Amino acid sequence: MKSMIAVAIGAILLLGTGSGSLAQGRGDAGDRSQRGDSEGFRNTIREERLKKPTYLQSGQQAPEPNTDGTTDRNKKKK
Amino acid sequence: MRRSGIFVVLLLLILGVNGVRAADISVQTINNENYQPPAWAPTVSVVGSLSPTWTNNAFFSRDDRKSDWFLNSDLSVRLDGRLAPDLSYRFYVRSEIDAFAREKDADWSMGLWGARLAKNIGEWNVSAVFENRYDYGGIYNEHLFTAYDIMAAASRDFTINSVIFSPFIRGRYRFSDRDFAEYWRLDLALGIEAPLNERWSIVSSPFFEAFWFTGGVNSGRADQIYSVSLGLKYNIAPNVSLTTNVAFEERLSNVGIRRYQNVDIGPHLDFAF
Repeated sequence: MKSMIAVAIGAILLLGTGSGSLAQGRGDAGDRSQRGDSEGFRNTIREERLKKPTYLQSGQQAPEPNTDGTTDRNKKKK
Repeated sequence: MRRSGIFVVLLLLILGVNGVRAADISVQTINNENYQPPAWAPTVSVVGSLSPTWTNNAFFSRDDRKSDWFLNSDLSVRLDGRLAPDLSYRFYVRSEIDAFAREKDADWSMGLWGARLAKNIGEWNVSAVFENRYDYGGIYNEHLFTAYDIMAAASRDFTINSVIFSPFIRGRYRFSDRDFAEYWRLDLALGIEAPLNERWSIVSSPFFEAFWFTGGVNSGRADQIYSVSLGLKYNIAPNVSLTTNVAFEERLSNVGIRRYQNVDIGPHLDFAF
């Protein structure tokens, strides 16, 4: 009887270990790529913003090119 | 007198023709100097991100949490062009690396090439994308799987009181040479940028991802990832920015051991040339 109980406990432990290792092994390779996936997603969101400079979208004017060779200080003097 | 008159007329004609020619040349010169490529001509750009980051969970593990520093490098080369005024295409290659300081088993890398067709529909930019992706453990060391992603996405920008909101939705199916990596996936993101002045802004990128795995040992597995981030962005130039960022991410799953929580903190240098 004792030996049967021991065998049963052993079988349960083995099954438990087995299912545990199965769970551990589930999608490990996929999980290793998860960090890069999330990072890549955040990177893409930030990179998309690069082409749309904030100071042009917030309703402010882009600085005009200085075509006459004078500085603002010189203009004020005039 | 008559001969001299004819001579003067001929001289004026010659001078006049030469003057017109000179004007033509100068207009041509100006045109050349102000030449701009036609809208349909493809352009090449290099876009990337570089980030030293600290994480409190290098392996995205539920139980075995190990903190470490890692360097994330993400580089893309893109060829963009137009087929019609509101129909654009993009071919691109992308390389991404996570290199850890101590936990070398967490090192990861991937390379991909992709193609995208995008069209404006109303205020939304709608796109169809194909990507062929190669994932590796280590730095291009152990091949994990090859994936073929078919995606559809939509995004737009709108501004409320100078705060820019960029909602983004994307659905995909991933085919793979390893069945455990195949899934349906839905991404929802909201980019938020609140400018403080011309250079500085507060940024946030909350997103939600849902995975429904379809193959192998992962068949029946369903994951959901919730992520929020908050950062301070400095525009070094219109095409270069530095963002300090804190990101929290939590994954829920019907496979208990696949749940995790993670915090990443670090600066990101983003550039586009």
